[in-house]
This record gives sequence, C-alpha cells and structure tokens, in this order.
Amino acid sequence: MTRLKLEDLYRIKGEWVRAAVLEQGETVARVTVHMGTCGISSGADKVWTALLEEVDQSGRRDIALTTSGCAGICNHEPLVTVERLGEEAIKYANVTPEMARQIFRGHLIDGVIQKDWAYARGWEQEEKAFEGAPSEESAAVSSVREVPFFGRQELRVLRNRGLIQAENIEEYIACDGYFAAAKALFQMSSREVVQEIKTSGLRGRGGGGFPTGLKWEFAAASKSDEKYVLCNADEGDPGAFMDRCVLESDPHSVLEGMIIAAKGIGAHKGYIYCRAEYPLAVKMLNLAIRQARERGLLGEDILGSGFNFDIEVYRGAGAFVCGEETALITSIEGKRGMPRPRPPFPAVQGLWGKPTILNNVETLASVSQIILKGGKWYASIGTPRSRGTKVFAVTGDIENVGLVEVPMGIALGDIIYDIGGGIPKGKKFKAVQLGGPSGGCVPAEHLNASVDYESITKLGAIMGSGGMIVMDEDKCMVDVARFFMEFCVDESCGKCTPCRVGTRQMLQILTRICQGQGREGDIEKLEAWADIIRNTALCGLGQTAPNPVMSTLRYFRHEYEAHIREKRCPAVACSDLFKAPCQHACPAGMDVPAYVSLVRAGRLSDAYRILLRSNPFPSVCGRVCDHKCEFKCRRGMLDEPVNIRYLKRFITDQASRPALKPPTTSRMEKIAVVGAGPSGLTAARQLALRGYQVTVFEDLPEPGGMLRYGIPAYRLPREILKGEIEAIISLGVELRCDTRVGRDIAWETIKAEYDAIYLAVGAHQSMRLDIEGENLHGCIGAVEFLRQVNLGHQVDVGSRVVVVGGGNSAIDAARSARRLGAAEVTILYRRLREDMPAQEEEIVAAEEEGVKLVYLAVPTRLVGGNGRVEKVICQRMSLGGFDASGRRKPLPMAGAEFSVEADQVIAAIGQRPEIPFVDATEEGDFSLARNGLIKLAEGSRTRTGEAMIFAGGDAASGWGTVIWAISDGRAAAGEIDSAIRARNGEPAYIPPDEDDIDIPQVVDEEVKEGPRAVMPELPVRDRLKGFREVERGFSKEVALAEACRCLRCDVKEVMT
Amino acid sequence: MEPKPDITLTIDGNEVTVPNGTTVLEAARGIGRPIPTLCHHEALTPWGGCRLCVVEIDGAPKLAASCVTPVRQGMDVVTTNERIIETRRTILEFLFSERPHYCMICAQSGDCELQQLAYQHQMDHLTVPPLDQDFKVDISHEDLVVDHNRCVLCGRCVRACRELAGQNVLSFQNRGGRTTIGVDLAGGLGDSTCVSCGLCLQVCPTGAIFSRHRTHYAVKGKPKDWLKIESHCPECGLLCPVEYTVAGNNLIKIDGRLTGEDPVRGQLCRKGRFDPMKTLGRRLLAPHVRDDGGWRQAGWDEALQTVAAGLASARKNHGDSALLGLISSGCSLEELKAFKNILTDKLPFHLVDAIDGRHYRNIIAAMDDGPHKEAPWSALAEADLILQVGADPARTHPVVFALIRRAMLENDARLAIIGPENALGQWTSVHLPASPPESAMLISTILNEIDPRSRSKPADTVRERWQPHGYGYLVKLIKEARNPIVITGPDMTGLDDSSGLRDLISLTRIKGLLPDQCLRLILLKPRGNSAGAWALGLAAGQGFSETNGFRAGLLCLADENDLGLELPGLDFLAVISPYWPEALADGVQVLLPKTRWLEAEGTFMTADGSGERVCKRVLEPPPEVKTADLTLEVLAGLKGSA
Repeated sequence: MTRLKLEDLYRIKGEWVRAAVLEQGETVARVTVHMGTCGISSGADKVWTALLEEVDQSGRRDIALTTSGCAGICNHEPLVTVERLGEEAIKYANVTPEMARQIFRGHLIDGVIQKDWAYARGWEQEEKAFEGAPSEESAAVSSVREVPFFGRQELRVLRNRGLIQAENIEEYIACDGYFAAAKALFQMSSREVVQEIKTSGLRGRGGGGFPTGLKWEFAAASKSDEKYVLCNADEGDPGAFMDRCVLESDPHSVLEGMIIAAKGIGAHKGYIYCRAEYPLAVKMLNLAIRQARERGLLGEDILGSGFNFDIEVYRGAGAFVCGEETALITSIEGKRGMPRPRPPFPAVQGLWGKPTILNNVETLASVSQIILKGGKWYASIGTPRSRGTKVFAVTGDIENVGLVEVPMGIALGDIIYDIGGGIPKGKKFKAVQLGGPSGGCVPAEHLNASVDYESITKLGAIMGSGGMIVMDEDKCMVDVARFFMEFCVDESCGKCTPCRVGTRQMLQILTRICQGQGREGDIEKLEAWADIIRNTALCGLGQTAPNPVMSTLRYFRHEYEAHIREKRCPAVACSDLFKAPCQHACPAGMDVPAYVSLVRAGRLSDAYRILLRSNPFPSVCGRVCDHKCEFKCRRGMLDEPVNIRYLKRFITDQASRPALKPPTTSRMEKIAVVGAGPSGLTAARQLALRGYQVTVFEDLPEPGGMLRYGIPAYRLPREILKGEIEAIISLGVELRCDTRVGRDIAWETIKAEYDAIYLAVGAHQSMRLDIEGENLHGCIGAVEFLRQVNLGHQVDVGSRVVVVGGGNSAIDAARSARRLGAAEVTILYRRLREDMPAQEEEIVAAEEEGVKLVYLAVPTRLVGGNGRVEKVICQRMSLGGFDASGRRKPLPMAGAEFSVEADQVIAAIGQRPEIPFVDATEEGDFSLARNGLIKLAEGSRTRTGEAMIFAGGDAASGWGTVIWAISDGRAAAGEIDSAIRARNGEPAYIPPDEDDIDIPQVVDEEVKEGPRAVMPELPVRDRLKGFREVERGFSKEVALAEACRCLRCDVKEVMT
Repeated sequence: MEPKPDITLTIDGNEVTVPNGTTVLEAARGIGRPIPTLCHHEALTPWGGCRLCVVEIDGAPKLAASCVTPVRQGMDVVTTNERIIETRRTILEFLFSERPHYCMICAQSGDCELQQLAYQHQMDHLTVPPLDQDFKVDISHEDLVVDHNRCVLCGRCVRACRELAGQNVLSFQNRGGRTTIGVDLAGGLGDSTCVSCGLCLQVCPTGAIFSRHRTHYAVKGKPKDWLKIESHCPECGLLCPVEYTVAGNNLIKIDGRLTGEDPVRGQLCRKGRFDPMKTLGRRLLAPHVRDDGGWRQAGWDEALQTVAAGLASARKNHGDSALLGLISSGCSLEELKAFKNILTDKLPFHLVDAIDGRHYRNIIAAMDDGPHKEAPWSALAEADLILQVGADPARTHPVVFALIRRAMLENDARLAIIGPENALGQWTSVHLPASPPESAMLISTILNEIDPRSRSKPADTVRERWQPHGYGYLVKLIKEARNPIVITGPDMTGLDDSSGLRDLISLTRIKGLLPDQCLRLILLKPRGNSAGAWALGLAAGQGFSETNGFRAGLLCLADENDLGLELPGLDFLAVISPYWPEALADGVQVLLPKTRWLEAEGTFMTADGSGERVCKRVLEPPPEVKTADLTLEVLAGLKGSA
C-alpha cells in the first residue's frame, strides 16, 4: 500500500464522492444495512445475508449492497437504508430477512416504496440532503428532520453515523477524514492546536468534564523525552454505549483525534484502552490502525509531515475501576489495575512516569471537527460553560432506546419526551438516572433542567459519560440505589477502606431496607456514611459511589421511609415485601391472589369471605375502584393485566354475602365517627368488631358519602351500596343521618361525650373556576351538581353543557348531564388526554355516549345574557416546559381564543372539605393545612394534633379514591384502638383468629393464555335513557377464563 | 537532581518549612502532630489505602490522605477536628466490621496496630454491623500463619515482599470486599516461592500474619513488661540490625530494624528471624563426663579437672605436638580471642585453628599478590551483572539473595549462575549447573577467553560441554557488563585447589576495582564470624590435617552439629558447646556447656571485614551455663592442665 501524501487526501475525497453518487450505467441503487453490535444482535446479519442472496439472484451488478454502523435508534434495529438514483433515501425499520427480500424486490428493483415499513426518508447529515422535491410516493413517509428522534439531534461526534462503512478508510477520508490531522500537522504549531481546543470549550466527555484544552496544555508544558496519548475506551457504566458506537462505526475519528492530541502535546505513542467485551470495537480499531499505518497516516513521518505517532490497542480485562485514569495507566503498565493517589497528575507523571493525557472516545472524536472548523464554531452551541454537543445513551423505560447527540443546554424532558418518545405502556415517568453508578436520579420535577455539566451536578447527578436510564413509576428508588451500590461493591478494587467496606455497609443497609428489615436510623446512617465515603475514598469510583443513594434520598426519601416504617414498597418492586404485587399495590391490602384463585376453584363464598377481611365494600370496589392492583399486575408485563376489579365484582354478584356474627360490645368506650362515607363506615365497622360502641353522624339523609352522592347510579346502583352499608349497621353501629355537626349537634358535645372522634367528612365543596361570569345562573360545581342529581332533586340541566376539568367527577358530571337530557356536552381540559386523571374506561364510555372532549383549552370568561350563562370564552393552550408532576405545563397561546356555546357550566377542577369546627388558621395543632385538608400528625396515618381526634379520607389525605378512604378507615380504627389501650395501659389488641380458608397453592393447571376479559355493557342507546347500571357483570365462563390468566406470582414454591 | 526548594505551609496553625516532596504526614509528624496510620510504613512506598490519616486541607470538604499528599506552598492543614476524628473512627469501624477482628481470641492481641488504633479512638463498641465473611487460615508454612480473617488489606506485606525482599510471592487477589492477599498464583504459603524472610510478618499491623513460634499470648505478658533490645544478628556475618523482644526470659520475636541507614535496612531473613526461636538441638545444661561408656552429669570442678587431666596426660605421653584446639567461627570475637590466646599462651596447644580455616587458606593462596578488600554488599544495588559462582545465598545468606533480587527488579541487573540449581534459578539470564570442580574449570576457560594473556588454563572440552547451556551468552554478558559483581562462596573456597578461585578473582579485576580499592567480589563465608576468626589469625597456620600426632583436643562450638570436616582420631576430646554435639557422639570424653550467642554479649566482624558490631545479651543463660572464655580462663588456671 502506498503511503499517502497530503494531496492524496483530496484525490481520495474526490474519487469517493464521485463513486458515492449514484449514476446511470454505474450504480443505480444502493442498500445499506446498519450493522453495529446493536443491529447484529437484533438480526441485521440475517438481513444482510438475505439481501446478499437477493442481489446474487437478481444478477443486477448496478445495485450495491453495503454496511454501516449503528443508526442510533436501537429499538428499531435492524435498520436498512435504500437509495435509488434520483430519489430520496428511505430508511426501513425493524426489518426481518423476509421484509428485506420484499424491500429489495419491491423498492430497489421495482421502485415501489414499502410504505408500511418505511421509517423515514432522507439522511440525517445535512450535506447529504436531497435536492429537489420528494416524489409523491415518498412524501407519505416523514422526513428524517420531521421524526423528532432524528430531527432534534445535532450530529458532531456521530457525524458519520449510518453514512460510512467503518472498514473503509477511504469513506472516512471522503467525509473530510484526516483533513484535520493534516491541518494540525502542516499548518498549525502545537501551541495553536492546544489553543484551538481551549477556544472550543470542549470538556472531557468521559464524565469528569475537565477542560480538554487545559489538560493538553499541562501535558504540553511538561518536559520529557517521551509523552503518551491515551484513549479511554473502557466504557463500563450500566446503560452506556456511546463509545462503542463510535468505535464500531467510525474508528478513524478517534485515531485522528489522537494524532491531533499527539501533535498538541508532542507525543509519539498512543494507546487505546478498550474493554475486551467490545470485540467488534476492538476488531474495527485494529483494522483502522492497520489501514492508517499502511497509508502512512500513523507511524513514522505521517503524511510526509515528519511527525511520528503510532497507536496500539490495549484490551481491558473487565474491571470497571480501570476507567479511572490512574488505574487505567497502571493496567497498561501490566500491573493490577488499581488507582493511585494524585498528585502527581498524569499530565506530569503518567504512563511509565511520563507526561500523559487520557481522553475518552467521545472527546477525541470531537477534536477533528474543532480543528477543521475552528474552536469558535464548536463553541457556538451549548451553554456558556458547557459547549458543543453531548451524546447520550438513552435506555430504560422509554419508547426510543438509542443514541442521541444533542446540543448542550437542551431540557432533560425534551430528550425524554421529544427525542425519546416518552414512557411506554402509558406509565408515568418517575426519574432518570444520569451518569451511571456515579450519577444520580433526577425526578420529574426537574425535567426542565438544562443538560449541562453545572445544572446536572446541581441536581445531585452528574453528566458522566452520558448514560441516561429512564425509569417509570414501577421502579423502586431504593431498589435502584441498591442496584447501583451493588455494582460499586462488585467493582470496587478494594484498595481503600471507605470504598471497599463502606459501600458494602451501605449495600447491606439498602438490601435490608428492600427486604423489609429496615430500621429507624438507617437513613441517617446511609447519609453519614455516604458523606464519609464521598470525602475520603481514594479515587472517583469510591468518591461517587454514594451518589445514587444520595440523590434518591434527596428526591425519594419518602420511599425509603415507606420501606422502613410501613414495610411497603410504593413502586411495588421489592418483592420481599409482599406476597404478590397486586396485593401490595392495593391501599387496603386486599388479598387478590387468594380470591382470584378461589374464583378459579369455584369457591365463591370463600372468596367473598376473603374480600370482607380487608374491605367492607367489595361490591362497591368491584365497580368503581381505580384498581391500582391492575397497574402492577405481572400479567400486564406480558400482555394485559388480569381484570381484577371485575373478578371482585363477579364474586359479589354471584355469591351471597356471608353474614358476620355481630360482635358483643365488650368495651366501655364510645367512639364518634363524623361522616358516613366509605372511610367513616369502615372505621365504624372495624371499631365495632373490636367491641366499641360507635355512633356515626351524617349530614345528608342517607349514608354513603360520595359513593351515594358523588358517584352516579349508572356506575354504582343504589341497592348494591345499601346492602354493604346495612351489613355494617347490622354489627351494632348507630347511624344518625341528617345530623350535621355544628348545626344539629355541637362539636363540643361530641368532644365531651365520646372517647375518640374520627373525622371523615369528605370533601363536598367544589373548587371555583375564579373567572369572570362564574356567578351567572347555570354555573355550578360538579360536586354540587352530582349531589343534586343523587338527592333525586329536580336538576336544572341545560341543553348545551360545558364541563371543565379532567378528573372522574368531570366525567361523572358529563355523563349524568347526558342522561338528564343535555343535547351537547363538552369537556374542556387544559392538557392532553394522556394527562387526564380520570380512568381511561370512563373517558371511553363518555365518548361513546357522545360527550365531546376538547383538549388544551381553559375557560377564561363566561358570557351571559339575562343573568344566565350563554357562552364560554376559552383560551387555547399549548404545552411548554414541565411542571413538578413531570407533565408539560399548559401555556396560553397568544391570540388563540375561541368560544363554546353553553347554557350550563360545571366546574370539576377539584374539591375541598368544609369543616367549620376545625381551626382554619393553618397554625394550631388541630387545624387545616394550606391545601384546606385536616393537618395530620407527623409520622401518623390518621392522628391529628389533638389527642383522641383522628381524621382520614378525602378530608385529610385528599386521595380521592374509595379504596384509600377504606384504607384510611381501617388505619383509623387501629390507631384509635391503640390510643385508647395505651391511655388505659392495656396490652395491644390481638385480632381473633380468622377462620381458616385454604387457598389453593398448587398451580395445578397451566396459566391460560387469552385476551383480557371485557366487561359487557349496556348499549349506548339504552344507557342514555336513565341511570341503569352500564356494566353488566361477567358470566361464569368469562370469569373463570379471566381468573385462569392469573400468573399466581404469590406462589413462591410449587408443591408437587 | 536539582536541589529541592523548601516549602512553607501551616499545620494546625503552626508555620512549618520542609523540603519539597515531603508528605503532609511527614511534615505533621515532624512537628509532633499525631496522625494515625495503618497502611503506612516508613520503610515502604506510600500507599494511601486505609484512609485513616486523612486531614483537612484548605478547608476543602474532601479529606486528603496525608501519607500520599505532598506539601504545597501555603497549604493550610488541619490534622484534627471533630469531623476528622469522626471520619477516622468510622473508617476504623469499617475495618473492624469487615472481617472478624476479635481481639480477645487473637494471637496478636497486645501487639497489634489495629487494636492500638481502636484504643486511641476510644472505640469501645462497633456501631457498624459486622459483615459476615469467612476466610481460610493458611497454616501450610513452617514459620508463619496467614489468617485472612484478620487482614485489613493494607498491602504492607505485599509491598514489603516486593520492595524489601525483592520477591513477588504476595499480591492482591480478587477485588473489592473479596480481596485477599494471594500467594504466588494460588495455594498456600508453605508450597510457595516464599523464602521465609518474615518481612510480611514484621510489617503486618494485625494478626493476619503471625509467627508460629511463641505465639500464645500467655507467654507474652503485657507489652509494658516487654524488653526491647536493639542489637545485631550474628548468624551469617551481615550483622543485620535487629530488635529482640523479650518477656521474662522468653524470646518473643525478632524484628529487623527497618528504619536505619544500613543498606540492608534491617530487613532480616529466615535465619535471623526464625532460627533463634527454634530449638536447634538438645541443650547442654551442665558439664558431663563419660563414665564406663555412658554420660554422667558432673560438677564444673570435676569436669574441668577431667579435661585438664586428659590434656596433660596426652601431652605427657605424646609430647608437645599432641594437643589440637579447634573453634567454630560462629563464636564471638571475645570467645575466639580467649580461645586463641589461652590455648597458645597459657596452655601448651600445638595448633589452634578455626574449623573453617581451610577456606581462608585457599583465599589467601588465590590472592597471591596479597590480600584485598572485598566488595561491600551494598555494591549489589549498583551492579548491572551479578555472577554467582559456587554460592547459594538463598540458603546461606538470604539477605544477599534479597539484595540480588532487588538489584534485578529495581535496576534491571542480570544474574548469571555457575553452580548447582538454587532458589534464584528461575530469574537467571544464564545458568550453568556445574559442580564445584567443573565451576573452577569453567571460570578458567572464561577468563582465558576474555583475557587470553591471563595465566589461566583453558579447556576446550569445557566450552563444548557448556555451550548448550548458554556459555557463549555468559561470556557476552561478562564482556558487556559495566559494573559486574561476583559472588562466590564455600563451594569455591572449599576446593582443594585454589586456582579456580584465583582465576575468578582475576576475572573480577578485568572490569577494574570498586571505589575504595575493593575487588568486585563478595565472598560468602561459612560462618557468621569467619571474617573475625580469620582476621584474628586463627586460621593463619597450617591446617591440622597435614600434621599428624594429635592425641587430644579441645573443641569449642557455636551451635553447629555438623563440623564439615573430619577430626583425627584422638585419645581425648573435650567439647565446649551450647548443645549436645550429637554427631561427635563417642569420640568425646567431657562436655562443657556454653552460652548461646543470645545469652552473652559478643562482638562480631562483618563478613566483608569492614567493621565490628556488638551483639548484646538478650537472654539470661541457664544457671549452670557459662561463657566459653570464662570456662577457658578457669581451665587455664587449673593445676596440671598446663
């Protein structure tokens, strides 16, 4: 091979560019298979083989087949790019060998774009942009710039992505490869090279963020006969694969960066320390080095410049710590890779005691563009202290897994939602782990944060090498911290005590917490040790090892506390804490696997008894529960969750309610419960079962609270509710309806006459819209509207109703209004449908019933005539940055107003309790908090600031779901009983033995495959006629089949 | 090296000026600020692993390990405050929690740096839960036990093994919490390349490596009752500085004095550290006389009278040339002098000789142009080629062995061996496994090849015979060497013919002399005080074997059993010895007990003849046991013995 001179670079570029253009009579079509490790592992090699066969069989010599590296969007691999003479390139995603054959025959030969599989048209690189208008056919495929994943990226490091063949040095040269090296060698002094890098503001992309130019300057200033340039390609962070992509698909860019660095500091030897787990990268590097040497681009007298520099690849043996610079250097020296203290810094004394610079792959790959286009060009994007672009490996619970290169300063949420496509399966975003095991978790409230070194550090994470692991609501942050700590424990080299022992001690505590063995004081210990480890460990690995714990403690301390105090994993991930996820997800802890398995066994009355153990309202919950259990159902990870809620209803539909033996009143104490809603009645029942005399005071004529006066009868028939309440009353609970505390009975009287009080008054007052015209006739709150409907009063319903809000009461109001004769019902919601808090099935039902949903709209003014509302003036919204909940904030669009005709406006934007007898100053012990709810004592579920007064349900916790209210009621009963016993000096309550119900533990039959059972519903035309129950209940066959879908993850060991 | 400028910094408010390159720890200790350390050891390179020595620098939140932090101009160091103490205590607790450090059942209790640190930090209980780990205890070694359960992974043993012993037996294995100190590639210490120098034992701050000799702490008593005696080890003539630890009259341990200026840095070897702890034979605790074919314990008077009578009788019957006096060169100069003076001046001995006298006579014969100074062993550190002929330092002078290894590791010195296989074999550049006579012929041939004008007699067959073993390469190495050192020993000096030795000396002179007119030659001598005995002229005369007519003898031993020579048939033999001379068995008529070197102060001459060192009395001798010079004085004074 002849050694190249400078002018040869221009010649090669010219030749290749000509060759790359499709030309009649030469090559008329080309197909590129993207074969990075990611592509190959998804089957790109098989696609390649299939295409090769097709080319052979076609006998067409004017069709070229070529490869390229990773195209960036990993979850759509294998990717194939098709180019035809005079047409815009088309990218196909998720290509199988069979598809590849069809694409070949259909598109390459016949010129018909396979639209169903086409992912995007065009190239990412602007210089390859297609000139001329897209053909009619290809216009149907969205352009690369329109696909947010590609469109928002800015390719500098990945500039040759998908474009060139890594094995072909000529292709690299044709893309301006080695021109920067030539410029540095022929036109620039060492000082100028370093200065250019300093001007660019480039900072070390390996994680430290140390200014690269400064590092080079130090090494350049060190006097020595020998110096070294090292490339850190020992990428080992979990979830990081940026460097691998560059090494595999564009190895020459790293070599060129090293040549320039060598020129800058005066080195003549370089090493690339590449992890052996990257065999393809090692292969490509060695190939690239060989090619460069053969052409005189490495070795003696590079390009005839008189400058000598050569590179060797050193394979790392898989120790994470060898990514630390001093350990890496020690490893190259052939010793055990352990870090040593600095100073001396490698720039002064590095490899074999000589001045050395160590940069990572991404940093070096950025260098050639800086030299070629100038430091100022590079610095033109980014933030003042973080210039240029950064590559991230986005993985985890995100739609678009892949590599993204973005300008510094982009919002974190933009990467996750725009480029990443958001969280799959409709789950909520919880946190993003930045910077690998040395990094931290950033929660939803910081999605607006700018991605740059300083901002991310401020959030308690680090930029790191660019690993970005997105986590949805199912990830337990304690478990995540434990995972990363385990990684550090495994990878600690063992040299220094804090890292070797301290991390293990922290891991021991974290493991214990995840297993439900956490103790008070554990969090404080973690914090103290984290501080010590961070400040005393020898190298970066140890110093940053506590970061995942620190950042999760910073943002998710409550999760740690829930594990320690309540032995509860809020994300339902720590399986040692529960029998089955569904049960753990249920606020009332209903034994889901037990009753589902009893349905399967056909033992419905046993199943009913199981239901009643933890929930006095199973037939209510079987209808209206928001079924948190189903969100955590393991079956849902495979296809769809088991329909747990309706199986519960099936039990209560089919079996007769087992009677509870009325308890004997065994205790002297009298308890008052204020509010006969689900929470109050549950507390009353539990207290009665413990032998107390309970009186329930209810303002309204009938018991049931929101179940009776909020939820419409078409969702919850009155007789069903009545049955459950009667069962509670029959335990000897005294119920006084139409008795409002403060009106019919004095608060002081209750306080004087009863030993303890449970306040469960609910939240029966709608929040106001606070806009002009709200006092017009026809404006009403949703709670008030539904109460009137459910009281059976004559309700004034307009013909054109507008409901404002996106929660369940908005839907209830809308659907009720339709049933009461409203011709047009419109729901205005300020965000998008996926942000609506209402249950999805409710939204669907409303739509079926003709309710119109208008998103991104906020009423600003109500206009009326004759004192009655006539029109709602709305502001059109658009979504901007992220709010604290991680949802995009609706912002008014200037000048975009519209109006909706309406003669009734129902405000369903929230509700609050009305409790005149509780101190509203926000200051006293027994008072309301800022949000209008009753203030609870620290660390307690239902205690208030005043002894023997307890509170729960919507009035205190504001949770707003039936099952939470029930759960609060149970908790209140327990705490009231404990408080009384404590006051009396009695021993703690021991619950009587429950009658033994044998739960089938043997998974005797295989889990049945099948779709999730659908609840049969009343036809829409019948629904609107009245308030008949819409959902008809499961048949036996359907219920049995559904129960058989349960994976029985509660069965830990199958007995044979 | 340009002189390093001084640096001024502040330590706990005190302004201190120290040379550049000083560590913060050194600077702080220099002004008496106490900083705890564990992985740090003055004789070893800094490590920075344990992090107990952390200090606050310029108020930074990150604490710095003072042992590896160089001073910087204007640095403001705080060595102690509440945060630092709390941090150190937690790190200490981490160490205690990591493995089962239960002091009350540890052999090293009372002599343990980890335990001492716990006392210093008032760590009366653990707030960090123990991590349950179980490691093996390695009891495969004769002198040492390695209990990984007590290891704090400070790496001192690893560094000592490499940096001081010149060995690479110990290293870290596995990583993180599973790290252990590994031996060679795996396996037990007893089956390893360990040369039992015991440096690892000495530098181990805990009970992870402990001695198998006198380990039980019941014999150790409390450290405050221990007697520490600084002295020198007379075992091989290197006279390494040592420290003996004695409790009651028990020798508990022997340590090298690692922090002196001696080039050997008191690293000590198996012979100096462990041999004195061992029982070398049946101790002779009282005089014995032979009676009717058996031994009978006798009083000193009776025994000495018997000796006097035996000697007198031989002289009476056989004349003046009948009496032979032989003494071991393991004895102190005081004993040697007394032996020589009393036997020649006061008693009518015809010949007084050192047991190893013939080596001396050979050496003198080989240096036919007069005696020369030998190279000091510190010269090894500078050598680029070490040629070892007929010597086995690993066995006879292990510290020299370590110096050779260090020269190889630190200086890239080459090693060539002529002679039998030995422990250095695996590292040699060339090894010619010749027997001693063959070695002599080889040397002569090599000399002739390098310097054809020399008087040596080459033998062609020798070259052919050794060519396949690397003869040519050896000659090349010798020719190219700029600063070679030759080490030879008893195998060469003990030959009947001194011509090989003479040629070897000529060979060393080709590259010139070392400074101070020293030959490039290190002579390993048979016993610890050979140089002393020879300097006293004890071996100056002819050896006894050439003279007939000896009928009675007096033999003074140090601790040898095998004399390495055949005694002439004698009518009467009295032996002064600390042990029963089992090998001499029937030939002895009277046994007189004598102190071991540990039991009497004595002066010894360094093997290269450059100086003398006093070896102090470490133990009280048993009640009936006297020094040899005292016994001889009494004997000389007895009526009838002269």
